[in-house]
Amino acid sequence: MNTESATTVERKLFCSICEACCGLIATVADDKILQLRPDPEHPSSRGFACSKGIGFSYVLSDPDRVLEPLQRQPDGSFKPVSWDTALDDIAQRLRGIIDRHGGEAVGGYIGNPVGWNYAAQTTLMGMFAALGSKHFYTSGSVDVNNYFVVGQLLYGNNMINPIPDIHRTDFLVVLGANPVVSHGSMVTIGNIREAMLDITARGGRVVVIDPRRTETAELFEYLPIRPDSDAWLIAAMLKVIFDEDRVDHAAVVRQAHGLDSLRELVAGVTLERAQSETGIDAAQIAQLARDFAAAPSAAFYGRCGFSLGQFSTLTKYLSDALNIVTGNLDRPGGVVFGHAMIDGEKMLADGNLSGYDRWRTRVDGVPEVLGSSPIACLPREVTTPGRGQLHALFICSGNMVTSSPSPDEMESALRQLDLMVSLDPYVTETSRLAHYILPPTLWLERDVMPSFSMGYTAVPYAQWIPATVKPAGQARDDWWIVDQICRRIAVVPSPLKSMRLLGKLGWRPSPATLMDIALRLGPEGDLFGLRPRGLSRKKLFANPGGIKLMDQPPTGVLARRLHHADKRVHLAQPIMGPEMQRLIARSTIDPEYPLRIISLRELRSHNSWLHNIPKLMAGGRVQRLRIHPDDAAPLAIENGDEVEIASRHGAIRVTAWLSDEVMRGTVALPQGWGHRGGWKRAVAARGANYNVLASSRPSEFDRLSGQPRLNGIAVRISRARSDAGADAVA
Amino acid sequence: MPYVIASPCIADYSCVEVCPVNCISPGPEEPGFGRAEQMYIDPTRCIDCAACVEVCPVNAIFDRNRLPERWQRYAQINAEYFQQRGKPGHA
Repeated sequence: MNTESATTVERKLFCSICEACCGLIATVADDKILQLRPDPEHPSSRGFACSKGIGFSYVLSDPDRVLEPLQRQPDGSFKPVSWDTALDDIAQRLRGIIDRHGGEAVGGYIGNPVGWNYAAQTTLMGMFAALGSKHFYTSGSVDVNNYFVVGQLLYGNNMINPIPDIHRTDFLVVLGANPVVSHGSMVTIGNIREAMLDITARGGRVVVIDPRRTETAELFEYLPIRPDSDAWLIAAMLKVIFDEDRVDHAAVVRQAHGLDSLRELVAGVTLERAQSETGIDAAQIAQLARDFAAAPSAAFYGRCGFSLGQFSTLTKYLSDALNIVTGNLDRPGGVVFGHAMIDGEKMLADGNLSGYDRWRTRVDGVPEVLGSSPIACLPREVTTPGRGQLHALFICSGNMVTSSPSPDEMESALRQLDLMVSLDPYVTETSRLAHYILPPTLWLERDVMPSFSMGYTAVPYAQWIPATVKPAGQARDDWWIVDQICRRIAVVPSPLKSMRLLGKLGWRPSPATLMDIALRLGPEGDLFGLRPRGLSRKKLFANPGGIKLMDQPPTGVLARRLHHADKRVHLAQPIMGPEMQRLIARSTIDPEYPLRIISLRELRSHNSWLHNIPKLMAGGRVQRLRIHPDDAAPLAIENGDEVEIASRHGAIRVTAWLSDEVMRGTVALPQGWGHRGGWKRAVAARGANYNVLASSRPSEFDRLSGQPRLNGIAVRISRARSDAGADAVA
Repeated sequence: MPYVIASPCIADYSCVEVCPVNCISPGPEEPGFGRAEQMYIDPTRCIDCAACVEVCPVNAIFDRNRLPERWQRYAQINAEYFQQRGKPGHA
């Protein structure tokens, strides 16, 4: 480029915004990133990247970015203070809270970006483990804890998640996922759109099932399905497979037990009822089941769409069961096990961290998942007095006012905290409520590994990169910030008792050192020299473009991967019985609120944190409600009208956009809009907080995971009166 | 020969901003931009200036004669976008 100078260098890295983890090349001059572009040599992404990653370097120098510790003043404004002032004051307040209420009154929340921040994750988890607190919350409890529950129940470990073998499959069914826009979740496949198109190009088949004719659905066979009826569809497919004896008995006998229990679970399901619940013709459901069972290889894959309903754990369980009974688990083209450079499953098991329902939340009695509590339960944990009441909260990359249900309730609870500290690059609708906002480094400014997704990649590879540029301003690594606070209250932040003891004795290695040890002793490690070709941090830092470990995930590895002592998949899950009964008993008819709303993702958005990047907000982007013309006509709603969306829990105003991409009776609205705080462009983009429509009441949750119901909420739409602007929150 | 935008395109639209004849669509002001997974060059209006090639962050733009074999079909895909729209590219 024209701006090249003598000091210009190129550095390889990977994008740490989403699970695709695309390889990038940065052009760097004088410690500034001039350009990010895709790395054609990356083992997984092979030259793919998207506008979010390419545009992210703007955030580093965003004038709205928080670059020094901020202390909230009585009038709500923020004053910059020194690190020592902030850390000392936080520690002093924290000591007071612990003296009065115990360590169990201190909690934490980690948002989605922490999935690319192993150091922050382990240090925060460690802090609460050391304090003996159960108040550890994650954004995973919005849309992915159902996976972790099913991983524990079926395979014996939260993190076990067989991925669709898209590169080899003959038949892919996609339910409630839009990989063309999301670029894949709970599976990492470089250029997933092309990989899916390759399936049909080689004579295979792809069926996309979604209430909305998504960007993915437009490329393949498409079946519309009513929101939050996914469990009905899969249960009915299983019923057909049992009734017509299309079970792959040889595979099931080899791999699992509890088949009879599964058969019994779906015995009460009828195709007629499934048709009326899903809106899919009974004959089509039966044929889909037959085709799926008959395909030489097949993979059933669902994601956010099927994780945001009231039965998300049952749905995920049924979906895995379908793959298993058709013989598709652990075989090429079916669903397979990834291969990570560090065995995260083993680490969790060794640390006794993996688990489900070992305890329940104090107020709502919801089961823990992976040692964490659901974020939807947090407000009542703050407002309900008694032992274990939450008084202090540390938030890392979290924006719960936007991402959890019932934002008003969340905001009011956060305001009651004796101490709230946000580690956040922006003054957001959430962090603006904090007593302190502390500036963290961003992914281009610290070392990164794909710690969350590395076990779910279709091309197993290893990557761990050093910081690309120096931190801006006074930004510091999240783990360092948490550790500094812990040092001031004499706590060693480690999830492992042994490490806490060693820490007290004076050995307190950094998360990077510990991760290097785990890597070197892990399945691909150099064993400190015993395996000279093996991996270490040093070796990976010297190969920042990543190192391919295998061409494709291994198969025939089930027994080695299962954590159950009997090395079988446990299909019999008694807790699914009551869920199935609850599903059968549920009526979704609500004449007062006749429409169902679903959330959707857009190409230039990612959760709630990228709306301040000018390049991603071009074209006057606004949040628009997709409504079918046939639903809009009787309401006299036209394109561009301001409409009110009301549920039983709240109401918002947005702009309507008539489109037959949504099925009749369903409306769709992007999540993560309606910002407040100091990120000016995001605030100026207006829009409304989708989650106002959602309830934080446990009766509305998916009971097994504690995930709120965000899809399929009953709503009614009306033209907004012209005296009020859009996006006012009722 | 006109330039062609191929599969690597990520709809970054830097090309739209530099095109001197506004022959690349859909730009941020056009309908369909929000959903566009890639940009297209109108072969009837492209003046072969290569300004877009320079700014593309993902090397997705090629002279039609030098289009890599695996992306040959993109010449037609670009042309069809404008034919199907029923009107020539506009700013």
